[in-house]
Amino acid sequence: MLAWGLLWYGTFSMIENGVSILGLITIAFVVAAVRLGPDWHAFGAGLIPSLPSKEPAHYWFIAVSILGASISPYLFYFYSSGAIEEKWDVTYLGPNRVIAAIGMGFGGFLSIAVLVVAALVLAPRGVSVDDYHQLPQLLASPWGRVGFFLFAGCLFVTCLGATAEIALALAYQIAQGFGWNWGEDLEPREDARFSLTYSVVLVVPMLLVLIGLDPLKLTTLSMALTAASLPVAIVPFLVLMNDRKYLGEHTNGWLGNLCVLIITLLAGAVAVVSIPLEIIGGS
Amino acid sequence: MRVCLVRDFLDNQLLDARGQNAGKVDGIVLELRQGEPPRVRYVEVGPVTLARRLNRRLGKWVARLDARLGDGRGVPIRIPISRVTLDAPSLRLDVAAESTPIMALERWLRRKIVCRIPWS
Repeated sequence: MLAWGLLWYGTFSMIENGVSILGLITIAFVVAAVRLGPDWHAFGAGLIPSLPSKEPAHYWFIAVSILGASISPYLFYFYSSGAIEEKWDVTYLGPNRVIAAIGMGFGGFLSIAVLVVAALVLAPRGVSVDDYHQLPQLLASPWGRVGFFLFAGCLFVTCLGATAEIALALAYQIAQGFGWNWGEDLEPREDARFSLTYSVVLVVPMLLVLIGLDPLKLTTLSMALTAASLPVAIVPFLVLMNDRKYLGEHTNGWLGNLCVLIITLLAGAVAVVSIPLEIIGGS
Repeated sequence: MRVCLVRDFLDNQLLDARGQNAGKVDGIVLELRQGEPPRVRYVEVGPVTLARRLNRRLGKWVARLDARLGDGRGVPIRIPISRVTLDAPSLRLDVAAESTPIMALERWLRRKIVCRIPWS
């Protein structure tokens, strides 16, 4: 309801800036990771990927899901629609690169912090997370009651942000696909179809959880399905990024095309293995 | 100027005279002439044309449902090609879409749902 109210009555910059500023609470994980004093040598060694010693199917399932979630199609739709909402023009090409790199980098950095805290708090107790209820221990362990509330705050803000982002991304995609009026800065009466689309998008998953589907299982399943759909979303970029009709002189150079090609091949590989891994290692 | 109908018209964005989005070009109607090349007569907009492109039976079903939206719906919405200009990558109409059948669903949803929600 809160996410819906934010989308229905708020503006794009209110959602963007509000959730981003509140999201800084997740820096608590970085502080916790440093305070728990990890073995920095082991941390450095852990940065180099290595093959798992047990449960390889489950390991690869998680790895593929994370890759799928990191380069998932909705990010492209949301980010590019946001650029239109904020009326970016060609002068934003430079800032755009900085924003994208810092944004993804900061997200990755926070994910590493969460992994380090999980390794230091949960692994020694032999806890293997298969339920959301086990998660508050991550911050409750170093900080007690305060940590519990900090964790609750992190979960609340990140869920609110993700909910708003995904609902908007889907509504953008559908409205642009059908050529409707759309825009978070328009009043709902000016883009009724767009506003009602994100409203429906918010209600349907809520109903799925209310009828008893496990949110954690639903998340991992949808991450695998996202991974499987990646090539459909990424292959068009190879064509689009070289189309002078749309991009004028700003088409990809050889390096850009090579990157897109590598990501496309990666997406293809991820798509092929995602469903078998979901069956073998998903549970 | 060389125009490719499928590339430059089909599925491209329509903008009305006020610059508002007015759907996509879902179909193109050609007139076949004896001994002369075919001539483009209309562009078609709306769910009926789109559904017919996917499946004939689906088209009939969508048309029945779409007819409930009032006059001018339940059939493909046809716009004479003389009212459309190419403004790549979009197409511009010389009328405001708000009062046309193109926006019937938007108007219905606005009246029946959106306007009933407080402060909307």
